[in-house]
Amino acid sequence: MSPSLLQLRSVGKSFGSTRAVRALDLDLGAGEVVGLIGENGAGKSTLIKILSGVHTPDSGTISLNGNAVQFSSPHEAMDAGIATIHQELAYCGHLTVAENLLLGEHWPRHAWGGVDWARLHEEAARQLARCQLNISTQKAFSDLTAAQKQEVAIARSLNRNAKLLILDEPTASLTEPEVVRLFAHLERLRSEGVAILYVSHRLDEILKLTNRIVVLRDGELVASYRTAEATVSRMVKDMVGRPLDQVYPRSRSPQKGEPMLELDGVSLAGLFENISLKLHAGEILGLAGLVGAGRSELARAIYGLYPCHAGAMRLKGRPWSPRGADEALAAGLVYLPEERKRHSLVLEHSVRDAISIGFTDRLTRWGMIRVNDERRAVAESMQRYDIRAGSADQPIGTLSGGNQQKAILARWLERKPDVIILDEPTRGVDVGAKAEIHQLIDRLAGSGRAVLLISSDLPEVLGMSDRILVLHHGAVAAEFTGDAMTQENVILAASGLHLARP
Amino acid sequence: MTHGRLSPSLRQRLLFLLAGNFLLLVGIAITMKQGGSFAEVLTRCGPNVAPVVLAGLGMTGIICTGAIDLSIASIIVVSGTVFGILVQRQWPPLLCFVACIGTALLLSAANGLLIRKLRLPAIIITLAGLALYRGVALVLADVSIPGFGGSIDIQRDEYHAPGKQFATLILLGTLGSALIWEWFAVTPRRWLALGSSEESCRLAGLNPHAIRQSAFVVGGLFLGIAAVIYVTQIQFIEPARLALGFELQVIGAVILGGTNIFGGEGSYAGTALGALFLYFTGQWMTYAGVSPYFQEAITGALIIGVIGLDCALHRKRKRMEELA
Amino acid sequence: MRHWLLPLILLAEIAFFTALSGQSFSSTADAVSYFRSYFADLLCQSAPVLLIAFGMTIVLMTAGIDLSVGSMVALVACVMASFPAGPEFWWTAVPLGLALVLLLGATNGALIAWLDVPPIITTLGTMILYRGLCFVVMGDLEKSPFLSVPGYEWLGQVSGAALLLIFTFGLAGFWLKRSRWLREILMLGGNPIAARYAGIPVSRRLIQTYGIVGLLAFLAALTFTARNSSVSASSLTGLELQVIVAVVLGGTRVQGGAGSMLGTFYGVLIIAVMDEGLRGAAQWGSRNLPFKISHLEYILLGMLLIAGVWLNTRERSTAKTPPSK
Repeated sequence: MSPSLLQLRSVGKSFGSTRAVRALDLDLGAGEVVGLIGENGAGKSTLIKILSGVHTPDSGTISLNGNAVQFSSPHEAMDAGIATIHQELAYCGHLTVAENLLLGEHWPRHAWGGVDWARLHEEAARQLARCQLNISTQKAFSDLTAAQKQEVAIARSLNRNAKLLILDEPTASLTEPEVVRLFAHLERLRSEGVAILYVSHRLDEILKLTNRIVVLRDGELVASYRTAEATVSRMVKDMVGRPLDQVYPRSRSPQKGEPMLELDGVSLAGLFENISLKLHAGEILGLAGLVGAGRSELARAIYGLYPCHAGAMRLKGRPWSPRGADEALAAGLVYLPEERKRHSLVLEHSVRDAISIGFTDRLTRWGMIRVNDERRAVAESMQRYDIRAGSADQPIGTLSGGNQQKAILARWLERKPDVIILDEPTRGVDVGAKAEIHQLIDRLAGSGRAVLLISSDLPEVLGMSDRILVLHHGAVAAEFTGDAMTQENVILAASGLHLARP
Repeated sequence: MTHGRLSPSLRQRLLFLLAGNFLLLVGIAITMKQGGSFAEVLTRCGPNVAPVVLAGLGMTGIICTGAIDLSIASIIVVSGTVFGILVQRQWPPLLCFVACIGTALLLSAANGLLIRKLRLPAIIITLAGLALYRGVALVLADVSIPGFGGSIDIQRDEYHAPGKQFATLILLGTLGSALIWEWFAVTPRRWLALGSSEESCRLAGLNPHAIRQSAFVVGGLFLGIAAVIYVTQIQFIEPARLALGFELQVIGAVILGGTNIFGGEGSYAGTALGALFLYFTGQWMTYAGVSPYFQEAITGALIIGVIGLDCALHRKRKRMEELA
Repeated sequence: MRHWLLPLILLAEIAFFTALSGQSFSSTADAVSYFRSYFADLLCQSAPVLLIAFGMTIVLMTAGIDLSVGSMVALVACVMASFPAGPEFWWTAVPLGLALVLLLGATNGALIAWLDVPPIITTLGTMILYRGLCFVVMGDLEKSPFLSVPGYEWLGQVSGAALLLIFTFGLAGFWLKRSRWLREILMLGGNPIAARYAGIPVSRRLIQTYGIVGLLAFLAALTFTARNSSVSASSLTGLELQVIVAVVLGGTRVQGGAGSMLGTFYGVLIIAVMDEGLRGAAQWGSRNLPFKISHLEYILLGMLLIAGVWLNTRERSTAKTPPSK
C-alpha cells in the first residue's frame, strides 16, 4: 500500500444519545480509490461531514500527511486539501462557468486595475483543459447539465490542490454515458496521485472503480478488503450483517384482497416511465430502488402532488386523477413523505396540532374544531401509537425522531385510510421505534389496508413486504415474490446489473 | 465577444426595454402637439430621471445580494436636511454637497451594519429605517434651525447647480463609471454570487456578511449622488413630505430592469433602462392627454404586469422542485 | 412572557403620558370621567388600524405581508365618497365598496397564490396601483358626503367602533382561534411544503387570507370616514407601516407560522397611546425639548419595530433548542 495520506484514529461522533460514528480507524493512501459502502444510517454521511469540516468529531484524531488537523468549516477542509462533491452542489447559477470555477481566487487584472476577463477565461479554460473538460467558460453555470456541473465542481477542487476527493453518490442524477465519462476522469485523477473516497449505493460502480472497499455498519467499520477479493454477495452480507427473519413481524396470513390501487403505464417526463402496478387490500408491496430511481416521485404522483403525463390510475376501482393532495385524503389515500422536517412538520407547533391537522376536518362544527374531541382523539392516538412526549402542548421539534415519525403516522392513520403509501417510514428512527413502526405496518395490512412501502433499508423492505417491485432509472426493473426476494436479487436489480425476469 | 455575463433572460429584458423605450419615444413624437419640442423632451429627461436612476444603481447592487433597502427615501430626507442646515449656515456649496453625499453613505452603511449585527432580515431593518430616519431628519431640523417652520428655503443659485445645471452631466458621468466599474470590478460579481448561493461563497472562503455590507456602502454612495440632485432641484426642503414614495419608484425601476427580487441576477443597464421606461411612459401619457391622475395607477399596473408575467413563466417547474 | 408584558407596557405608557400632559385630577370621579373619554377616544381613533391589524396578523402568519392596506382603505373610501349622500348611499356606495374591496384583496391573493409573485412585490405594486386609482377617482379633491348619510356617523362613534371591534376581535377572533382554517394558515405559514403534503389547499387559503384583509379594509374605511368625515386621494398613507409595527410588536413573527390576535390588539393600542401621548405632550415638549415632540414618533416607531422583531426571533431560537436529556 502507498504511504498513508489520511489517517483516522478512533474517530467518534454522537448526536444526543445516538452514536453515529464510533471508534473509527481509516487509512487512505495517495492514488487510491476507496469505496465506502453501508446501509442508510450506517454513518456514511456523518463520516463524510466529519472529513469535509461540517461536523467536528467528539473524539479521535485525523491526520493529513502525518500532521494532525482539525477543521471548523468546510472551507478549512478544502484549504487543507480535502474536497467534497456533495449530491447537491452549491453553485452560483447566474454566474459564468469561469467565475464559478475561480470564485474566491485572485482574478487576473489589467495594469489599470480592471478585471482582465480574457485572461480570466483563459485561466478557467486552462483549468478545465487540465481535467480534459470541454465546456465553454462563458456559459451560465445553471445552463450546464448535471454531469457538467459535477465535472466543473471536481475541476474546481483539483485546482485548489485537493489531495483527497470525496464523492457522495455522484452518479445519482447522471445518465449511463455520463457515468462512463466520470469514471474516466476519476481514473485519470487516481493516476495523478489523488486519493478518492467514493461513497455509493451502486455496488456495480464500486466494483468497477475502486481498489479497496470499506464497509460501515451501525457507525463502525466492519470490513475492509481489496476490491479484487470482493463479490456482491460478500459486500451485501457485510453491509447487512444480521439474519433477516427474526426482526420482522408477520402476523397476517398472505392473502390478497381486492385491488385497491392500479397503475397502468404511468409516466412523468424525466422522472419515471411506463410504470404499472397493482396493490391489493391486505398486502404490503415493497418498492425498492436506489436514491433517484423515481420511487418518491411516483408516490407523489399517486398522491396528487405531481402531474402524470401519460398512463391511467385507478383507486378502489374508480379512475383516479387527483389534482391535489386534498382529493387523495378525501378518497382514503394517505402518504407519509420521506423527510420529516421538510415535508411534514412545523417544528415549533405543538404535538397536538401536528397530529390533529390530519383529521380535524372530521371534528369540526361550523368550521370550529371541537376542542374536547380533539384533545381526546390526540390523547388516544398518542397512547395507541405510543408517542412519548411530556405533554401534547410541547413543540413537536423537541421530540425524538422516532416519536416525531409516530406522530406523523398517527396524523394519517387516524383517518382510517384504505391505501397507505409509506416513504422511508423508519429513516432516522431509533431501534425501538423502528420495531414499533414495523408492527404497526404489519397490523395495518392485517386489517385489510393496502400498503405501498418505499424503503432504502433492504432488510426492512425484504422483511416486511409480500412482494417487491424494484425501480431502476424510473422504470420497473424487476418484481420479486417468495423465495426470489433476496438481498442479492434486489440489489442487483436496483443497480441495473440484472435484467428483469418476466 | 460577449463575456456570457448577461443571462438570456436578462438580455431579453434589456432588449425589451430598449425597444419599449424607443417605441415610447416614437409615441411621444407622434402624439406631441404642435409647439412641443422633441429636443426639449430629451433634455428634460436627464434631470428628471437622474435621482431614480442613480438611487436605482445602488438598489440594484443591494437587491442582487438578496437584500433590499426600503429606507432610501428617508435617507434622502436626512441628507437633504443636513444639506439644508449647512446651507442655512452659509457653508460653501461644495462642502454642502459633500456632506449630503456623506450622510447618505453613512446611513446606508449603518443599514448594512445593523443587518449584519442583529442578523435580522434587511426588509425589517430598512422598514424600521424608513420611519426612523425621517424622524431623525425632523428632530435634526428642529434642533439646528431656530424657529424651524417645517421647510428649509434654498434660494441662492449656486446651491442648485447639481440638480438644475449639471444633472444630466452627473447622471451620464456616474452611470458611465458605474457601467465600467460593473464590467471590470470583482465586487459586483461577488454580490451576484452571494445572491445566488451564500453557501458557495462560504465554501470559496468569502465572507457573505462583508459582501452584503459592501453592497450597502456602494449603494450609499450612489444614493448620496441621487440625493444631491434630488434636493438641489427643489426650492423648499420639507423633511416631513420630501421624497414620499421614492423608494417604490426606485424598486419598481430596478425590478422592471430585470433584477431578480431574490438576488443573484441584475444589471445597472437594466435599471437605467427600467427607470427611463417608467419615465417615458409617464411622458407619453402626458402628451397623449392621459390625465396625470392615471399615471401612478398605470405605473403600478405596469410593474405588477411585468413581474407577474416573469414569475408565472417559471412557476410550474418551481412548484415541482419545491416539493422534492 | 408577552402575555403580561404587553398590557404592562400599555399601562405604564398611559401613566407616563398622562403625567407628561400635565393632567391633574381633583377627585376620583374626575379621573374616571377623564379616562372614560380617553379610552373612548382611543378606541375610535385606533379602530381602523385595529381592524386592518387583525387582517395583517393573519397575513403575517402565512409568512406574507400586505403593503397595500393603506391604499386599499383609501381607495374604497374614495370610491364611496364619489356617490351622492343620502339614504340611498347605503344600498349603492356601501355594497359596491364591499365588492370592490374584496376584489382588490383577492387580486393580491391571486397574484401571490397563482402567479407566485412574492407577497412583498405584489403588494408593493398594488400599493402604487391602488393609490394611483385613488387619484383617478378623486383627483385633488377632498370629498365629504359621509356625514350627510343618515346613520353613518354612528360608525365612527364609540358604540359603532366598539361593535365592529367586538365583532372582529371578539366573534371572528373566537371563531378563528378554534377554527381548522387558522390551523391550516399557521401550517402553511410555518412550512408551505408540509402544508401541501398535508393536503391543505394552499392557493385557496392564500386568496382567502388576502380577501379577508380586503374585507377588513372595507370596515376600516367605514370607521375612518365616519370619524374623519372626509377623504382625499392621499389619505392614510403610511398606514401599512403603523399596522406592521403594531402586529410585530404584538408578538407575531414575520417568518410566519405563529401569531396572536390579543398581542396585535395590545400592539396597536401601544402605538395609538404613544401617538396620542406625544400629541398631548406637545406643551411639555415645547417647554423642555429643543424639537417638536411629535417628531419622535417616527423614531420610536422604527426602534419599536426592530426591538419587536429582534425579541420575536430570539424567543423563537430559544424555543427551537430541544431540552437537554
